[in-house]
Amino acid sequence: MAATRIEAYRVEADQLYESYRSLTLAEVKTVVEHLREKLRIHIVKMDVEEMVFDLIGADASFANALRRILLAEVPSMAIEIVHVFANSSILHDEVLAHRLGLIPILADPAHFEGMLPGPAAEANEHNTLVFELDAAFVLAKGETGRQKDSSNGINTCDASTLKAPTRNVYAKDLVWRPMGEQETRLAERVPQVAHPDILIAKLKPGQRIKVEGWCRKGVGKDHAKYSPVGTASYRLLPSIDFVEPVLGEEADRLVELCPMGVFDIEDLGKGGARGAGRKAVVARPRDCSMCRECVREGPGVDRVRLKRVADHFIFSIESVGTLAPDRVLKDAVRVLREKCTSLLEAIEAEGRGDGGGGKG
Amino acid sequence: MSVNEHRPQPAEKKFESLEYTDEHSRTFVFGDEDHTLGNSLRHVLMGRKETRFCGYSVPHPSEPKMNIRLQTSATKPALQVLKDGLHEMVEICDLFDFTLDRAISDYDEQQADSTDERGIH
Repeated sequence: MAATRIEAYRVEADQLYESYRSLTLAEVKTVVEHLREKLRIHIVKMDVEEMVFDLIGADASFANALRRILLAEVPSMAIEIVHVFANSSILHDEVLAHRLGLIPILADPAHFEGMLPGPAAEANEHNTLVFELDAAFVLAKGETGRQKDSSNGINTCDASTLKAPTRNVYAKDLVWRPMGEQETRLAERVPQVAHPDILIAKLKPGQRIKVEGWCRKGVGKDHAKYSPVGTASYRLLPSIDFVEPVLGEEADRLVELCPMGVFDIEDLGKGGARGAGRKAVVARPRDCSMCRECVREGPGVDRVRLKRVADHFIFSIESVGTLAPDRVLKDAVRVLREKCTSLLEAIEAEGRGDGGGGKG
Repeated sequence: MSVNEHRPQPAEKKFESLEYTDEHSRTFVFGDEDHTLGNSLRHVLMGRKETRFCGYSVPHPSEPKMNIRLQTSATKPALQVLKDGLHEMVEICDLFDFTLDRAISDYDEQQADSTDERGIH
Protein backbone atom coordinates (compact mmCIF):
# COMPACT_ATOMS: atom_id res chain seq x y z
CA MET A 1 0.00 0.00 0.00
CA ALA A 2 1.38 3.35 -1.04
CA ALA A 3 0.65 5.11 2.22
CA THR A 4 2.57 2.58 4.27
CA ARG A 5 5.53 2.90 1.99
CA ILE A 6 5.63 6.65 2.36
CA GLU A 7 5.37 6.43 6.13
CA ALA A 8 8.19 3.94 6.13
CA TYR A 9 10.16 6.36 3.99
CA ARG A 10 9.56 9.15 6.43
CA VAL A 11 10.99 7.12 9.23
CA GLU A 12 13.95 5.79 7.28
CA ALA A 13 14.99 9.03 5.65
CA ASP A 14 14.66 11.27 8.65
CA GLN A 15 15.88 8.93 11.38
CA LEU A 16 14.73 11.18 14.14
CA TYR A 17 15.40 8.64 16.77
CA GLU A 18 16.73 5.14 16.90
CA SER A 19 13.62 3.81 18.59
CA TYR A 20 11.36 5.40 15.96
CA ARG A 21 11.27 2.31 13.85
CA SER A 22 9.62 0.12 16.46
CA LEU A 23 6.89 2.65 17.24
CA THR A 24 3.45 2.59 15.76
CA LEU A 25 2.20 5.74 14.11
CA ALA A 26 0.09 6.63 17.14
CA GLU A 27 3.14 6.64 19.37
CA VAL A 28 5.21 8.86 17.10
CA LYS A 29 6.27 12.09 18.75
CA THR A 30 6.41 15.43 17.08
CA VAL A 31 9.78 17.09 16.82
CA VAL A 32 9.08 19.53 19.64
CA GLU A 33 7.93 16.75 21.97
CA HIS A 34 11.12 14.89 21.19
CA LEU A 35 13.20 18.02 21.83
CA ARG A 36 11.51 18.72 25.16
CA GLU A 37 12.95 15.43 26.36
CA LYS A 38 16.25 15.38 24.58
CA LEU A 39 17.47 18.92 23.89
CA ARG A 40 20.57 19.78 25.87
CA ILE A 41 22.93 22.70 25.49
CA HIS A 42 26.26 22.64 27.19
CA ILE A 43 28.62 25.58 26.88
CA VAL A 44 32.22 24.46 26.57
CA LYS A 45 33.82 27.86 26.25
CA MET A 46 32.52 31.40 26.08
CA ASP A 47 34.16 34.80 26.08
CA VAL A 48 33.56 38.10 24.29
CA GLU A 49 34.87 36.79 21.00
CA GLU A 50 34.34 33.08 20.82
CA MET A 51 31.83 30.54 21.97
CA VAL A 52 31.83 26.77 21.71
CA PHE A 53 28.83 24.79 22.81
CA ASP A 54 27.37 21.33 22.49
CA LEU A 55 23.96 21.11 20.94
CA ILE A 56 22.60 17.70 21.86
CA GLY A 57 19.41 16.06 20.68
CA ALA A 58 18.58 18.41 17.82
CA ASP A 59 18.41 17.59 14.13
CA ALA A 60 20.96 18.74 11.56
CA SER A 61 18.31 20.83 9.82
CA PHE A 62 17.87 22.95 12.93
CA ALA A 63 21.61 23.28 13.55
CA ASN A 64 22.04 24.27 9.93
CA ALA A 65 19.22 26.81 10.07
CA LEU A 66 20.94 28.41 13.05
CA ARG A 67 24.29 28.44 11.30
CA ARG A 68 22.86 29.99 8.15
CA ILE A 69 21.05 32.67 10.13
CA LEU A 70 24.16 33.47 12.16
CA LEU A 71 26.13 34.04 8.99
CA ALA A 72 23.58 35.82 6.88
CA GLU A 73 20.52 37.06 8.72
CA VAL A 74 21.45 38.51 12.10
CA PRO A 75 21.48 42.30 11.74
CA SER A 76 24.47 44.45 12.61
CA MET A 77 25.75 47.96 11.89
CA ALA A 78 28.33 48.85 9.23
CA ILE A 79 29.32 51.85 7.15
CA GLU A 80 27.15 51.81 4.05
CA ILE A 81 27.57 55.28 2.51
CA VAL A 82 30.79 57.26 2.41
CA HIS A 83 30.87 60.95 1.57
CA VAL A 84 34.33 61.90 0.38
CA PHE A 85 35.28 65.53 0.93
CA ALA A 86 38.97 65.12 0.34
CA ASN A 87 41.08 62.17 -0.64
CA SER A 88 44.54 62.75 -1.96
CA SER A 89 45.86 59.42 -0.70
CA ILE A 90 46.83 56.74 -3.18
CA LEU A 91 43.67 54.79 -2.38
CA HIS A 92 40.84 55.38 -4.80
CA ASP A 93 37.61 56.64 -3.27
CA GLU A 94 35.87 53.34 -3.99
CA VAL A 95 38.62 51.27 -2.39
CA LEU A 96 38.69 53.56 0.63
CA ALA A 97 34.90 53.33 0.95
CA HIS A 98 35.06 49.56 0.74
CA ARG A 99 37.74 49.40 3.44
CA LEU A 100 35.68 51.65 5.70
CA GLY A 101 32.63 49.46 5.16
CA LEU A 102 34.45 46.38 6.41
CA ILE A 103 35.41 47.93 9.75
CA PRO A 104 33.35 46.36 12.56
CA ILE A 105 31.33 49.04 14.33
CA LEU A 106 30.53 48.58 17.99
CA ALA A 107 26.90 49.66 18.14
CA ASP A 108 23.83 47.76 19.20
CA PRO A 109 21.65 47.12 16.14
CA ALA A 110 18.62 46.88 18.45
CA HIS A 111 18.89 50.64 18.95
CA PHE A 112 18.33 51.31 15.27
CA GLU A 113 15.72 50.84 12.62
CA GLY A 114 16.46 49.29 9.29
CA MET A 115 16.59 51.56 6.27
CA LEU A 116 13.42 51.30 4.24
CA PRO A 117 14.00 50.18 0.67
CA GLY A 118 13.68 52.60 -2.20
CA PRO A 119 15.11 56.00 -3.05
CA ALA A 120 12.56 57.85 -0.93
CA ALA A 121 14.06 56.54 2.31
CA GLU A 122 15.69 59.27 4.31
CA ALA A 123 18.53 59.09 6.76
CA ASN A 124 17.63 60.13 10.27
CA GLU A 125 18.95 59.65 13.78
CA HIS A 126 17.05 56.39 14.16
CA ASN A 127 18.59 54.61 11.21
CA THR A 128 21.98 56.22 10.66
CA LEU A 129 25.17 56.63 12.63
CA VAL A 130 27.74 59.10 11.37
CA PHE A 131 31.50 58.67 11.72
CA GLU A 132 33.98 61.30 10.61
CA LEU A 133 37.51 60.71 9.52
CA ASP A 134 39.86 63.60 8.99
CA ALA A 135 43.48 62.61 8.70
CA ALA A 136 46.24 64.66 7.15
CA PHE A 137 49.96 64.35 7.12
CA VAL A 138 51.26 67.88 7.41
CA LEU A 139 54.92 68.56 7.93
CA ALA A 140 55.98 71.76 9.66
CA LYS A 141 58.36 74.01 7.78
CA GLY A 142 61.84 72.62 7.62
CA GLU A 143 60.72 69.28 9.00
CA THR A 144 61.74 66.28 6.97
CA GLY A 145 59.66 63.73 8.82
CA ARG A 146 62.78 61.60 9.10
CA GLN A 147 63.59 62.46 12.68
CA LYS A 148 63.31 59.72 15.25
CA ASP A 149 59.83 60.42 16.48
CA SER A 150 57.29 57.65 16.19
CA SER A 151 54.49 59.35 18.07
CA ASN A 152 51.36 60.39 16.19
CA GLY A 153 51.47 57.39 13.93
CA ILE A 154 54.34 58.78 11.88
CA ASN A 155 56.85 56.20 10.79
CA THR A 156 60.24 57.68 10.80
CA CYS A 157 62.49 56.01 8.33
CA ASP A 158 66.10 55.61 7.69
CA ALA A 159 67.52 58.75 6.05
CA SER A 160 69.82 56.61 3.96
CA THR A 161 66.91 55.12 2.02
CA LEU A 162 65.71 58.63 1.08
CA LYS A 163 62.11 57.48 1.18
CA ALA A 164 59.49 59.96 2.31
CA PRO A 165 57.95 59.04 5.67
CA THR A 166 54.41 57.77 5.98
CA ARG A 167 51.62 58.35 8.43
CA ASN A 168 49.23 55.53 9.17
CA VAL A 169 45.51 56.12 9.33
CA TYR A 170 43.83 53.71 11.76
CA ALA A 171 40.25 52.79 12.52
CA LYS A 172 40.54 54.71 15.81
CA ASP A 173 40.76 57.92 13.76
CA LEU A 174 37.05 57.47 12.99
CA VAL A 175 35.16 59.81 15.30
CA TRP A 176 31.48 59.36 16.03
CA ARG A 177 29.38 62.45 15.42
CA PRO A 178 26.09 62.20 17.33
CA MET A 179 22.99 63.31 15.47
CA GLY A 180 19.86 64.65 17.15
CA GLU A 181 19.07 62.80 20.36
CA GLN A 182 21.67 60.13 19.77
CA GLU A 183 24.08 61.49 22.35
CA THR A 184 21.67 60.86 25.23
CA ARG A 185 20.04 57.80 23.66
CA LEU A 186 23.31 55.97 23.10
CA ALA A 187 25.18 57.34 26.12
CA GLU A 188 25.25 53.93 27.78
CA ARG A 189 27.17 52.40 24.97
CA VAL A 190 28.95 54.97 22.86
CA PRO A 191 29.27 53.84 19.24
CA GLN A 192 32.88 53.26 18.25
CA VAL A 193 35.02 50.95 16.18
CA ALA A 194 35.45 47.47 17.63
CA HIS A 195 39.15 47.23 16.85
CA PRO A 196 41.02 50.56 17.00
CA ASP A 197 44.16 49.34 15.27
CA ILE A 198 42.83 48.41 11.85
CA LEU A 199 44.99 50.09 9.24
CA ILE A 200 42.85 52.02 6.77
CA ALA A 201 45.40 53.89 4.66
CA LYS A 202 48.92 55.26 4.60
CA LEU A 203 49.58 58.92 3.88
CA LYS A 204 52.64 60.63 2.47
CA PRO A 205 53.43 64.24 3.46
CA GLY A 206 50.83 66.63 2.15
CA GLN A 207 48.13 63.97 1.65
CA ARG A 208 44.78 64.12 3.32
CA ILE A 209 41.65 62.04 3.80
CA LYS A 210 38.46 63.70 4.94
CA VAL A 211 35.39 61.51 4.75
CA GLU A 212 32.11 60.89 6.49
CA GLY A 213 30.86 57.34 6.86
CA TRP A 214 27.17 56.65 7.34
CA CYS A 215 26.36 53.44 9.18
CA ARG A 216 23.24 51.45 8.50
CA LYS A 217 21.66 48.34 9.91
CA GLY A 218 21.90 45.40 7.54
CA VAL A 219 22.23 41.64 7.23
CA GLY A 220 25.01 39.40 5.97
CA LYS A 221 23.10 38.17 2.94
CA ASP A 222 23.08 41.74 1.65
CA HIS A 223 26.81 42.26 2.18
CA ALA A 224 29.35 40.22 4.14
CA LYS A 225 30.41 43.32 6.10
CA TYR A 226 27.11 43.06 8.00
CA SER A 227 27.80 39.51 9.14
CA PRO A 228 28.25 39.61 12.95
CA VAL A 229 30.36 36.45 12.94
CA GLY A 230 33.70 35.57 11.45
CA THR A 231 32.73 31.94 11.31
CA ALA A 232 29.86 29.93 12.64
CA SER A 233 30.20 26.22 12.13
CA TYR A 234 29.32 22.88 13.63
CA ARG A 235 30.67 19.35 13.48
CA LEU A 236 29.43 16.09 14.87
CA LEU A 237 31.05 14.65 17.97
CA PRO A 238 33.31 11.77 16.94
CA SER A 239 32.62 8.47 18.62
CA ILE A 240 35.43 5.96 18.76
CA ASP A 241 34.73 2.41 19.93
CA PHE A 242 36.84 -0.66 20.36
CA VAL A 243 35.38 -3.81 18.84
CA GLU A 244 37.87 -5.67 21.01
CA PRO A 245 40.53 -4.24 23.34
CA VAL A 246 43.95 -3.16 22.05
CA LEU A 247 46.58 -4.22 24.56
CA GLY A 248 50.27 -4.07 25.36
CA GLU A 249 52.69 -2.91 22.68
CA GLU A 250 49.85 -2.60 20.23
CA ALA A 251 48.25 -0.08 22.55
CA ASP A 252 51.47 1.98 22.53
CA ARG A 253 51.50 1.78 18.76
CA LEU A 254 47.90 3.01 18.55
CA VAL A 255 48.63 5.95 20.84
CA GLU A 256 51.58 6.90 18.62
CA LEU A 257 49.56 6.51 15.43
CA CYS A 258 47.01 9.13 16.39
CA PRO A 259 48.29 12.62 15.51
CA MET A 260 45.59 14.29 17.61
CA GLY A 261 46.37 12.39 20.81
CA VAL A 262 42.93 10.88 21.18
CA PHE A 263 44.03 7.66 22.87
CA ASP A 264 45.56 7.09 26.27
CA ILE A 265 47.05 4.08 27.97
CA GLU A 266 45.25 2.56 30.91
CA ASP A 267 47.44 0.56 33.25
CA LEU A 268 45.82 -2.75 33.98
CA GLY A 269 48.53 -3.82 36.40
CA LYS A 270 50.68 -6.89 36.00
CA GLY A 271 47.84 -9.30 36.12
CA GLY A 272 45.88 -7.76 33.25
CA ALA A 273 44.35 -9.72 30.44
CA ARG A 274 46.92 -11.83 28.57
CA GLY A 275 49.41 -10.41 31.02
CA ALA A 276 49.71 -7.39 28.73
CA GLY A 277 49.46 -4.82 31.47
CA ARG A 278 48.33 -1.91 29.31
CA LYS A 279 45.21 -1.14 27.38
CA ALA A 280 44.38 1.64 24.90
CA VAL A 281 41.39 3.80 25.86
CA VAL A 282 39.67 6.72 24.16
CA ALA A 283 40.48 9.72 26.34
CA ARG A 284 39.74 12.76 24.18
CA PRO A 285 37.17 11.97 21.47
CA ARG A 286 36.61 15.71 20.89
CA ASP A 287 40.14 16.12 19.61
CA CYS A 288 39.58 13.54 16.89
CA SER A 289 39.76 15.09 13.44
CA MET A 290 38.48 11.99 11.66
CA CYS A 291 41.81 11.60 9.87
CA ARG A 292 41.30 7.80 9.91
CA GLU A 293 44.99 7.27 10.64
CA CYS A 294 44.06 4.80 13.42
CA VAL A 295 42.04 2.55 11.09
CA ARG A 296 44.29 2.84 8.04
CA GLU A 297 46.93 0.44 9.29
CA GLY A 298 48.32 -1.05 12.47
CA PRO A 299 46.45 -2.47 15.45
CA GLY A 300 43.29 -0.41 14.94
CA VAL A 301 42.36 -1.61 11.45
CA ASP A 302 39.75 -4.12 12.53
CA ARG A 303 39.45 -3.19 16.19
CA VAL A 304 38.76 0.54 16.22
CA ARG A 305 35.40 1.67 14.97
CA LEU A 306 35.24 5.32 13.96
CA LYS A 307 31.77 6.87 13.97
CA ARG A 308 29.96 10.07 14.82
CA VAL A 309 27.12 10.80 17.22
CA ALA A 310 24.30 11.80 14.89
CA ASP A 311 22.60 14.30 17.20
CA HIS A 312 25.53 15.78 19.08
CA PHE A 313 26.78 18.97 17.43
CA ILE A 314 29.87 20.83 18.51
CA PHE A 315 28.91 24.34 17.51
CA SER A 316 31.42 27.14 17.37
CA ILE A 317 30.75 30.84 16.89
CA GLU A 318 33.46 33.40 16.39
CA SER A 319 32.27 36.98 16.66
CA VAL A 320 33.91 39.85 14.75
CA GLY A 321 33.82 41.84 17.99
CA THR A 322 30.68 43.92 17.59
CA LEU A 323 28.23 41.62 19.38
CA ALA A 324 29.09 38.97 21.95
CA PRO A 325 28.65 35.46 20.51
CA ASP A 326 25.87 34.48 22.94
CA ARG A 327 23.98 37.61 21.97
CA VAL A 328 24.38 36.77 18.26
CA LEU A 329 23.05 33.28 18.97
CA LYS A 330 20.01 34.64 20.81
CA ASP A 331 19.41 37.06 17.95
CA ALA A 332 19.59 34.16 15.50
CA VAL A 333 16.90 32.23 17.36
CA ARG A 334 14.75 35.33 17.39
CA VAL A 335 15.20 35.75 13.63
CA LEU A 336 14.09 32.16 13.04
CA ARG A 337 11.10 32.67 15.31
CA GLU A 338 10.14 35.86 13.51
CA LYS A 339 10.36 34.08 10.16
CA CYS A 340 7.71 31.62 11.37
CA THR A 341 5.40 34.20 12.96
CA SER A 342 5.54 36.50 9.94
CA LEU A 343 4.75 33.54 7.69
CA LEU A 344 1.78 32.62 9.85
CA GLU A 345 0.56 36.18 9.40
CA ALA A 346 1.13 35.97 5.65
CA ILE A 347 -0.90 32.74 5.55
CA GLU A 348 -3.76 34.40 7.40
CA ALA A 349 -3.60 37.34 4.99
CA GLU A 350 -3.65 34.97 2.01
CA GLY A 351 -6.65 33.17 3.52
CA ARG A 352 -8.54 36.48 3.71
CA GLY A 353 -7.69 37.10 0.08
CA ASP A 354 -5.75 40.29 0.63
CA GLY A 355 -2.36 38.64 0.97
CA GLY A 356 0.88 38.92 -0.84
CA GLY A 357 0.44 42.29 -2.51
CA GLY A 358 0.67 42.98 -6.26
CA LYS A 359 -1.02 40.47 -8.48
CA GLY A 360 -0.69 42.45 -11.66
CA MET B 1 25.46 52.19 -11.78
CA SER B 2 28.04 50.24 -9.91
CA VAL B 3 27.76 46.62 -8.87
CA ASN B 4 27.16 47.72 -5.31
CA GLU B 5 23.93 49.38 -6.26
CA HIS B 6 22.44 46.11 -7.45
CA ARG B 7 19.95 44.87 -4.90
CA PRO B 8 18.03 41.65 -5.30
CA GLN B 9 14.34 42.45 -5.50
CA PRO B 10 12.14 41.10 -2.72
CA ALA B 11 9.61 38.47 -3.70
CA GLU B 12 6.24 39.60 -4.99
CA LYS B 13 4.40 37.32 -2.62
CA LYS B 14 5.42 36.17 0.83
CA PHE B 15 3.15 33.14 0.70
CA GLU B 16 1.17 31.37 -1.96
CA SER B 17 -0.71 28.12 -1.99
CA LEU B 18 -0.87 26.30 -5.30
CA GLU B 19 -3.99 24.24 -5.70
CA TYR B 20 -3.67 21.17 -7.80
CA THR B 21 -5.96 18.40 -6.68
CA ASP B 22 -7.43 18.65 -3.22
CA GLU B 23 -6.76 20.30 0.06
CA HIS B 24 -4.73 17.35 1.32
CA SER B 25 -1.98 17.71 -1.22
CA ARG B 26 -0.61 21.14 -1.79
CA THR B 27 2.49 22.95 -2.90
CA PHE B 28 3.20 26.09 -0.91
CA VAL B 29 5.42 28.80 -2.31
CA PHE B 30 7.32 30.94 0.19
CA GLY B 31 8.77 34.24 -0.97
CA ASP B 32 12.16 35.38 0.38
CA GLU B 33 12.84 32.07 2.05
CA ASP B 34 15.53 29.49 1.40
CA HIS B 35 17.09 26.34 2.83
CA THR B 36 17.23 27.94 6.27
CA LEU B 37 13.53 27.64 6.84
CA GLY B 38 12.88 25.07 4.09
CA ASN B 39 14.87 22.21 5.52
CA SER B 40 14.02 22.79 9.17
CA LEU B 41 10.31 23.26 8.48
CA ARG B 42 10.34 20.16 6.29
CA HIS B 43 11.87 18.23 9.16
CA VAL B 44 9.26 19.46 11.61
CA LEU B 45 6.42 18.63 9.20
CA MET B 46 7.84 15.13 8.67
CA GLY B 47 7.48 14.48 12.37
CA ARG B 48 3.75 15.19 12.36
CA LYS B 49 1.31 12.31 12.35
CA GLU B 50 -0.87 13.67 9.56
CA THR B 51 1.99 14.06 7.12
CA ARG B 52 2.22 11.46 4.38
CA PHE B 53 4.81 13.22 2.32
CA CYS B 54 6.79 16.39 2.71
CA GLY B 55 9.62 17.78 0.63
CA TYR B 56 11.07 21.16 -0.14
CA SER B 57 12.97 22.71 -3.00
CA VAL B 58 14.55 25.98 -4.03
CA PRO B 59 13.80 25.98 -7.76
CA HIS B 60 16.41 28.54 -8.74
CA PRO B 61 19.07 30.24 -6.59
CA SER B 62 18.51 33.69 -8.08
CA GLU B 63 14.77 33.54 -7.56
CA PRO B 64 13.77 34.38 -3.95
CA LYS B 65 11.41 31.42 -3.67
CA MET B 66 11.15 28.18 -1.76
CA ASN B 67 8.58 25.44 -2.36
CA ILE B 68 7.19 23.01 0.16
CA ARG B 69 5.19 20.05 -1.05
CA LEU B 70 2.95 18.69 1.65
CA GLN B 71 0.61 15.71 1.41
CA THR B 72 -1.48 14.81 4.40
CA SER B 73 -3.82 12.05 5.48
CA ALA B 74 -7.56 12.63 5.27
CA THR B 75 -7.78 13.83 8.88
CA LYS B 76 -6.33 17.28 8.32
CA PRO B 77 -5.97 19.62 5.34
CA ALA B 78 -2.41 20.41 4.28
CA LEU B 79 -2.70 24.11 5.06
CA GLN B 80 -3.67 23.33 8.65
CA VAL B 81 -0.74 20.95 9.03
CA LEU B 82 1.56 23.66 7.66
CA LYS B 83 0.26 26.14 10.22
CA ASP B 84 0.70 23.57 12.99
CA GLY B 85 4.25 23.01 11.77
CA LEU B 86 5.03 26.72 11.88
CA HIS B 87 3.59 26.97 15.39
CA GLU B 88 5.76 24.02 16.34
CA MET B 89 8.83 25.79 14.95
CA VAL B 90 7.99 28.78 17.13
CA GLU B 91 7.78 26.45 20.13
CA ILE B 92 11.13 24.91 19.23
CA CYS B 93 12.71 28.38 19.07
CA ASP B 94 11.30 29.22 22.51
CA LEU B 95 12.51 25.92 23.89
CA PHE B 96 15.98 26.51 22.45
CA ASP B 97 16.06 30.03 23.86
CA PHE B 98 15.04 28.76 27.29
CA THR B 99 17.60 25.95 27.24
CA LEU B 100 20.29 28.37 26.06
CA ASP B 101 19.57 30.82 28.88
CA ARG B 102 19.89 28.02 31.39
CA ALA B 103 23.14 26.81 29.82
CA ILE B 104 24.56 30.35 29.95
CA SER B 105 23.70 30.81 33.62
CA ASP B 106 25.12 27.34 34.39
CA TYR B 107 28.31 28.31 32.60
CA ASP B 108 28.58 31.66 34.41
CA GLU B 109 28.08 29.94 37.76
CA GLN B 110 30.71 27.38 36.91
CA GLN B 111 33.15 30.13 35.89
CA ALA B 112 32.48 32.03 39.11
CA ASP B 113 33.13 28.85 41.11
CA SER B 114 36.41 28.16 39.38
CA THR B 115 37.66 31.72 39.96
CA ASP B 116 36.74 31.35 43.64
CA GLU B 117 38.82 28.23 43.83
CA ARG B 118 41.73 29.97 42.19
CA GLY B 119 41.35 32.77 44.72
CA ILE B 120 41.66 30.34 47.62
CA HIS B 121 44.72 28.50 46.37
